[in-house]
Amino acid sequence: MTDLQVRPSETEPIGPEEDGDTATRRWATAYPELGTEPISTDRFISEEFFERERKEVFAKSWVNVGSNHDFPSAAAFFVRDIKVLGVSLLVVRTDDGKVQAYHNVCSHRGNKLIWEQNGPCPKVFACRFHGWGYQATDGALASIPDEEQFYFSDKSTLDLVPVRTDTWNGFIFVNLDDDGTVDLHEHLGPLGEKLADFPFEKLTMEYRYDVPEKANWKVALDAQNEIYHVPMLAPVHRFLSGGAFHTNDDGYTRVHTFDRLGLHSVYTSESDDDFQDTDSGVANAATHPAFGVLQLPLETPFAFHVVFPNMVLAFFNNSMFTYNIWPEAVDQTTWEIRLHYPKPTNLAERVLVEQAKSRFRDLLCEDQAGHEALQVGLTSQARDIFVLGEQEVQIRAFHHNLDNYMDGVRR
Amino acid sequence: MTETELVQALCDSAEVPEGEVLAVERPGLPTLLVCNVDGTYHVVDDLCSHGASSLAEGRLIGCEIECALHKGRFDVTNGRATRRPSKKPISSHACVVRDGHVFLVNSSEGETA
Repeated sequence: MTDLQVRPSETEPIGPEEDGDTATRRWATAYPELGTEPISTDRFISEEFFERERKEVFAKSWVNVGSNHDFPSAAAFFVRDIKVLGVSLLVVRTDDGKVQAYHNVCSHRGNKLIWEQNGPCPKVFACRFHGWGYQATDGALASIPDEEQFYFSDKSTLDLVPVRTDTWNGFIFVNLDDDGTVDLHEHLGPLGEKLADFPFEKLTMEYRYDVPEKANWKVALDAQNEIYHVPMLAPVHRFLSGGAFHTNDDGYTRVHTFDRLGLHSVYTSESDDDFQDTDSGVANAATHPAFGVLQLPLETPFAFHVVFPNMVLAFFNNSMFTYNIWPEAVDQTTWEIRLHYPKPTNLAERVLVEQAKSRFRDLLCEDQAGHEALQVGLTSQARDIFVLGEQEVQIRAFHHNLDNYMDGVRR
Repeated sequence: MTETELVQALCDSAEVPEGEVLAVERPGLPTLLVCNVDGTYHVVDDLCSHGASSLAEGRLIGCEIECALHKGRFDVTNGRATRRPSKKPISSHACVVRDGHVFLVNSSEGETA
């Protein structure tokens, strides 16, 4: 197996020269630091690489674990088990609106404290094993049944263990690294500023799919991280509207804009305002709701942000979707997909949401089959490197950031 | 009826049953695809405008030929690209059937064979 420290050798790029409107070295020229070299197969199949990702990235980074929409009421909790971090988290929002995550572990014998997925916030969280109770407001140990039977030198050390928690525009992030990494504001950097004001709180209708995949987590992310495949993948993808995914005369999509935003990045698709769709395309486009005054921050009809390390925040035709791509093992992933829509104001809008949701779900089913097929090819080790093109620049940027982060360059 | 001049015999009509296509090579012409859509013959270029592969290896689905390489489609009655990834049209050519042969003709109107 290739030495993981040795990146594939630099090679002189061989590809079409820059050519006016169809410039093909646009991103390689704009972002020379990303290079043009191939990408190693090892990083998708090596247990050692996966372990480094777990320790150096996921355990030392801000990770999105949900949003304010996950609380069933104003003061409430939800439980989040995160395998790659090896933890169960109890995320609590109290009456004052403060959100705090704790390790979901009873201080008595280490039992998983709360087993329900979510619920209204009680005054005291009680362990179902022996009934030890913890205050919801601050996680302090509040009651111990038959307390006199115990030998405590310092009971105050037995509160719930808090986890670094912060929120951004309604999204909840945690960081298992207590103090070695920057705060959330710095972590999100220019991406956080760019999207700080978009009205996420208005997108209250949410659908969630947790898709188990036999593939490395980066396979799913990479596959979603380009639109080169859009006109090719059949049967659903190629019917995506040219209004959002314009193809040039040769039938190919083009990344319209690409920006590195600290550890994060965003690309938008080239669109065509004058696009004349086919009848079926018009019917498909009509299933994307247009909700009156609500305007999402769309430079184009499709904008795809990767929030390092494993979150995607994307806007598509005035609706929004997010991914959280959760590594379970080197070749096992849960692709958490959430579709976000404004609350419909009439039946017609409600029907449109249902159509849009179903259409999008079918689209992603097509993707999922591709992800697992990709892993088969990578696992075979038939090749130890793979190549990326100009239109896959955001994949390149992600792997560049991942390598840097594991090497301790964390912004 | 528009006057037509028979330019080139392409094949016996019996060689192209309904729902079938046939690639034909004749000197001085690009490879052409003779298509039989419900008993009506149409002729288009055999070369997919997208991937530069022969359309003769694809399926004729109604009046659309589907390229075997990337599954793009073209309407063989007018050459228009009808499904991604194909975008550019392919050339269509007028044809007639005379005495059991499919002929390329020089009339832009063509005839119903």
